[in-house]
Amino acid sequence: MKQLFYFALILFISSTNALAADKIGVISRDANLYAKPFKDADTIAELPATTPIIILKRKGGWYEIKAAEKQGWVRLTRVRLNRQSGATKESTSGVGELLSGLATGRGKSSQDTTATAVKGLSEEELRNAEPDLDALNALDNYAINDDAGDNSGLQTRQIDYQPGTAAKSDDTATPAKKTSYEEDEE
Amino acid sequence: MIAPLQTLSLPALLLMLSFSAHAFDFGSVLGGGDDSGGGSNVFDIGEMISGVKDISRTITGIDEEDEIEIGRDAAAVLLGASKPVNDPELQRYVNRIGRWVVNQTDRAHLPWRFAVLRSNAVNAFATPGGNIFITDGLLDLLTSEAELAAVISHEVAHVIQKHHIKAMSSLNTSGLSGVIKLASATREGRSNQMTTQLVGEVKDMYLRGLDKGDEFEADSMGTVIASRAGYDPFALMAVLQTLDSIDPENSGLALLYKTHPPASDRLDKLEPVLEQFDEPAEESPMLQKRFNKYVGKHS
Repeated sequence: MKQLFYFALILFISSTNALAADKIGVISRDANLYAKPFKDADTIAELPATTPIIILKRKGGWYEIKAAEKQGWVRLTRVRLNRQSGATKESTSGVGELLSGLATGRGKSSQDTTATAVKGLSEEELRNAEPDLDALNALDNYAINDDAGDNSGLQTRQIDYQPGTAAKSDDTATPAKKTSYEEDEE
Repeated sequence: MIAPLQTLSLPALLLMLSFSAHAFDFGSVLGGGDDSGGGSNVFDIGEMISGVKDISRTITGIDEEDEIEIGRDAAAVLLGASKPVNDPELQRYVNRIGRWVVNQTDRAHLPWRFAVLRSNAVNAFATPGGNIFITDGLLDLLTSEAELAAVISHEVAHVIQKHHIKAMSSLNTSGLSGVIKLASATREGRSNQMTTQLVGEVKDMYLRGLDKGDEFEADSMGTVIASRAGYDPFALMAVLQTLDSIDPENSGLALLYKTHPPASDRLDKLEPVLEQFDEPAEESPMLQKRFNKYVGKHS
């Protein structure tokens, strides 16, 4: 009886979060499950790495998830989405439905995308490209040269490129002549 | 006018900037650099110095006019491989986001152009001097304006750091001076055609991709740039998580993964960068509304 209640509850929750209800993933590193999307919120559970999860939605650096029969929030950085196979999920929510448009065009769903040929900017098309200066000049029609106009309330912030950027690029400043994903070139 | 500037001292660099033939926008070096953002135009010497440091670390000794010229050639090549989507409202929309984003950097004065290209491959490209292209296939995977701004910001970071010039220089047998020579030759013969050699080197660069470290740097800088613009700092990570969830054998990802580190590596590198961010300010629902309007209707 109790199980049935939870089942119904989960169904209810799922239906109210239809947009992302079918995103599944795993905990990538041991993580706390919080009651709210804040670091000082109560911890509901400790989730070890590889715990399977269902992602309900994202809010900034947090995912609201269901895992180990509980629901709460984990840091985005502790989650990996599960790999989709070639076949994509049915599109239910319109805009931006995960993967549904991949290699098939927006809105078309449930195709084996791996079998679809790439059209536009494939390696071969790039190799054979004839420079198109007219298309380049036509971009001027859409350019915005100073003020971006209505920014719908976006508030600029002052944030340095540090830390991270400088330290990281120093680490890797020497241009690697060959990296693993270049090797099949030539 | 062209000097090997790899290791300029800070005073020399400042001198050079102040005598630059281009209208260098000093205001934008001070951070923000945009008047419409509201309350961000505070003189910040720390930011200015860190901006100068960024330039001196990566400067490749190329005149900005040459950089823009090479960029136009590179853009023409990419546009030879795919045309812009015929949707003026969508194109205008990505330019509006792009302009808002670049106004938060110290290179807002470049002739920035943004376009969505017709391609079912998942990819985005930048050229020197500020041409930025995002494929239809990548746009399809995005769920919010913040994610679109994050992708754009990653490409903007490549432009700001001149990563493509660096990559082309390492491919050209004469290094940077060889690339610059090609650009001048092309500019002089503009009425005729681009030199075949430059076209070849541009293609080579896009087929091989940039330095791996430069991709990580663009993730990290792009995250900062998008955040400066008021967008959710975690949006790029969300995009990378989406990419990570796609079968890497998918043909739509072939060129992307040939030229970029695996999404999982990029996620690992990006994690510590995000430690500095608290929760983002609440985004206005208007953002989702207009994203849906311009991106959603497009098909």
